[in-house]
Amino acid sequence: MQDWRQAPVVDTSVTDQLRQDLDEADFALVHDALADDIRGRLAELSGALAQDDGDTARRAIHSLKGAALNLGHLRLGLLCGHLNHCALAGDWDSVRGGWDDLVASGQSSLAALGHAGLAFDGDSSIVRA
Amino acid sequence: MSASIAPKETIMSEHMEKAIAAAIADKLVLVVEDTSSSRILVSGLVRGLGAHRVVSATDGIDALAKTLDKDLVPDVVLCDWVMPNMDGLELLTRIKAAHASVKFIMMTVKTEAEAVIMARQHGVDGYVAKPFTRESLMTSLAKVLGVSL
Repeated sequence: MQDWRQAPVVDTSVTDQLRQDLDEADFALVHDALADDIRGRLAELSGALAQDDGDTARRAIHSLKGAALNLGHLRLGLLCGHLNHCALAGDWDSVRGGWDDLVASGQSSLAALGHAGLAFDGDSSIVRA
Repeated sequence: MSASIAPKETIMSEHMEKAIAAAIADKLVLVVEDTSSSRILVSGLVRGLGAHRVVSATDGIDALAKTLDKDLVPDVVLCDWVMPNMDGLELLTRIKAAHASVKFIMMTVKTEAEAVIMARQHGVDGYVAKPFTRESLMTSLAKVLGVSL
């Protein structure tokens, strides 16, 4: 699997294909929804990690991975794939260690979507829109 | 994109696209996805393939509740596997128990052999690996709708 660090934020070939496959309204709607999904899943993951809720954390990472890759947000999707692998192995230290990279990738995707990024407090445990 | 994550794609002829559009036009398609962008994406792609009746649900419980309405019993279900509250496998089991003729397609990153076998044992009719494309959805829909490729 490609290293997420080397991956582009967005695979434009996927975006170009979706532009052909979806009507204009759905194309805009699905990208706005991805922005909401990124914010929502990161907030969900942050809360789950703070409460040691492994099931919710795994599901949040898994959902974000699928949503990102479906829309060609390759760097975020691949990073989630890596963290999902860590989570399934019970390696929560690596998941927590990847948090800052995950936030940065999420912010890059939001910027590519034309949405304002997220702000996080110092301990990365609270997500603010 | 690396080959390892690229979905399998099938080149479809214009004739085949018309055949699928004709087959799916009068079918009720239920899209079950907890992630809103994926739900909107699948619904949009299915409408683009010719489906006029597309309903969506946010998880298995929402989907089951919708099927209690006899007018909303689907012909085809496109369902995520990993969801909160009720996952795709349990929904598959419950829908098949109540409506055996419903065609059920699982959409998932779970592509390892054990997962595929488990889904088949529960009666799944089709499988779409994530990340999916219009072509991979078409291929699976063609199979369950009996459109020969």
